[in-house]
Amino acid sequence: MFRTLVKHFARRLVQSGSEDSGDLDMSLGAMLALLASPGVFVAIGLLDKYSSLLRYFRGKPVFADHYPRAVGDGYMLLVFSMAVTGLVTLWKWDRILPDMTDRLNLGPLPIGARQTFFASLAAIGLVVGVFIIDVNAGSMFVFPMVVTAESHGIGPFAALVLAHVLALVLASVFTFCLCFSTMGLLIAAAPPRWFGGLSILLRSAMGIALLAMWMTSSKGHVWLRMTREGTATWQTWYPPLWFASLYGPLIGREDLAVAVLWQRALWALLVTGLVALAGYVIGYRRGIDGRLVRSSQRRRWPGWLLSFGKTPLERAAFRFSMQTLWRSERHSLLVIALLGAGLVAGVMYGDANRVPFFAGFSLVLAIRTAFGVAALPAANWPFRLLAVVEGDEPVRVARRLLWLHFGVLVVLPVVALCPLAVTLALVLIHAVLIEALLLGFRQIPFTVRPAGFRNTRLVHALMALVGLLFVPWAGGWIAAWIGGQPLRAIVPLAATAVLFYYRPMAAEAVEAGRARLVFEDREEDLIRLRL
Amino acid sequence: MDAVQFSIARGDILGYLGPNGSGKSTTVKMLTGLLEPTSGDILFHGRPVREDLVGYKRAIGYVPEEAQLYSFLTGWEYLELIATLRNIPPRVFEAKTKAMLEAFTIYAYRDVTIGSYSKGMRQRIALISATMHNPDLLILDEPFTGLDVSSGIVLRQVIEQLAQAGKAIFFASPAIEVVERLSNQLVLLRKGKQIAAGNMAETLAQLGFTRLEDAFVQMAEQTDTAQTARNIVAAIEAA
Repeated sequence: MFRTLVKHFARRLVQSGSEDSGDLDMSLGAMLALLASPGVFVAIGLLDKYSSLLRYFRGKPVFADHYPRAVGDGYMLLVFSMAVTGLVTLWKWDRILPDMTDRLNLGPLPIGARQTFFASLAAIGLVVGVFIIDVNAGSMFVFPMVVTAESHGIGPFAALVLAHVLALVLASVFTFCLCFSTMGLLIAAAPPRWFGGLSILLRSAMGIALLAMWMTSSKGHVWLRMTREGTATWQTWYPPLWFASLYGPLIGREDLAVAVLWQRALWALLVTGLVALAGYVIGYRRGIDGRLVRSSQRRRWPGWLLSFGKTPLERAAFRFSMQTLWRSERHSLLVIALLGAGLVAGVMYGDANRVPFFAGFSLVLAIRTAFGVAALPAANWPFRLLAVVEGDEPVRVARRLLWLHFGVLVVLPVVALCPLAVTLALVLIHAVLIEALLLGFRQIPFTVRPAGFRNTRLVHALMALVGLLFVPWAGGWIAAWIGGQPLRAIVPLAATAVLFYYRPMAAEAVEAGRARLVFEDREEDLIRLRL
Repeated sequence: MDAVQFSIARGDILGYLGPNGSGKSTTVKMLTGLLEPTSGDILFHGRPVREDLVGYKRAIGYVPEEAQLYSFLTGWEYLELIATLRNIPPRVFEAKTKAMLEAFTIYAYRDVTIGSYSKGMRQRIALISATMHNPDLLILDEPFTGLDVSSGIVLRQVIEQLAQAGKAIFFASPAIEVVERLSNQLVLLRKGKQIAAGNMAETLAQLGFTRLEDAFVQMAEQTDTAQTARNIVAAIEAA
């Protein structure tokens, strides 16, 4: 009985999320495979640094002591594991708590309340355990093997495996407990009607912090050295460094660790574990008792904000798109996560004038990507029933949404904080980008996944990466060029005007012979034979 | 669907009856323009609807078999979306929707997300969205699914009164007793084919039945229901 219950709760935890999640949830197998791969590749990539053969060919000296470097590289893997664990916990956290469905299905069965509670808890432990092992499976053995390849005997390898596995597992469990306990505290403290909004804000902030932590992982070597030399300031309160400090005592190198830091790691784990457990007890009782964790009460959007558009379809599609983007939790989290990633990348780049380009590009791309993530495709029947396309309403709606968000979230702060040349370059380059992204756009945002999306998403991801490198570089260069001589602004203005002149022709070429509006995820035939 | 032919006049309630898989929902999809017939025509006021699909859609209201609605919108927001699509002026929408939500006893839940609605509440929202523009033809695909007893009685009376007011009502359902009580016209289906159509009383008389249930069981379902029931009871009682 207990095993069956644990199995049930475990399956419930890993199954797809809420019904508006659309394409954002992937199968368990795909997710595990995807998450397991980076650790292996990073660990293998370290061969470049630790291989004595490669160093011999390069004529570089043999390392006198591998371990200080190894701890820094272990820190990178540790931070990756923490970031992934935290992001998945934030994404899936609502599945962790039981709800009315559990009550309705398990309530009438002859099962004790304690048995249900402990089965649910055991399932969480099981799923978190499997997840952490999966994320780190590759690096757990490959990393120590690479680092200790030149060592004699199995002793150093075994010691590093033990240290690495313990540090990774404890750090990941800490991150899970931290994220879950924070959400648990919110459940306990926040008024139900505020919970939904606060939850998105808090999860977004934590998600951006986790991304920042991951993207700064290459600084680990420096920060660890600073903690050892006693020159660290805020770094001594930075959790990943606490857990990286565990390597020292575990491999028998006390000189590589600051005792206060690894002790802090263990205390933090204990405290967050207890708080997470308390949060779980509160959430469990509320969920199983049928008292809603989240309030489904919503405030209405102001009418004027949603009434843009010339035709009924345009007005309805804009209204629906705005509401989907900010009412559907998964869609809003996707946009905030991509915007956050862009911002973190911009800040890391170091040039303040390029930050708006990183932020603008990631925001525009995030919203454009979200358009293709259908919210409940089965519910798009009113649009199918009533949509009458009189012109290019879908493009106008999408363009308005992109400009509204880009204008408010990126351009307005830039106008206030940056030189005029930066604002001009930012607006021009994004005007072109938005038009390019909307070529061939033939759907009401969020109503259908674009045909062939599954087959081309890798290409889209690669193009996005290239764009993230190119747009800030080009934008920064144009801004600097205009800044030197304001009259030069005529050149990018003229170039943009030329591109806009040719836009209808490009659109016509892309859309030739295709339906004006699509509602089904069906790939069109490239070649159609009529025999 | 094969050789299906029927007509609905103003004031008619046409019961479209058939077992699961007989083609009821396919017909509904064709009638609502969601599916194009491979052959044949659907005429509205004597003209093929494909000639003016938009005008036809303006004149119909549709309640689907299962009310799939956007769960992250509130009931009010969803209705506002449909009203915008139907180009209903905001003032008219507000007055109408308030009255209809109150009548269907869900006004208090208007600002609650549809995700937390019961099946019956979703069904009522779908009904309001189908009727808020005062359609000439109402297409109902199993509209009583999930409704509580009082809402079901109210809906039945609403359908009757709408028919009395001159609306044409197409009503697909597997619920024989509801179809029998409500409809004055009948279409009986089996495996995509029409096996009887016409005025309810006359059609039953022509087929030699007095009750719709008998006609349905013998003509459409063609199963020995008593034997099926006996098999189920035997399975329940088996040691």
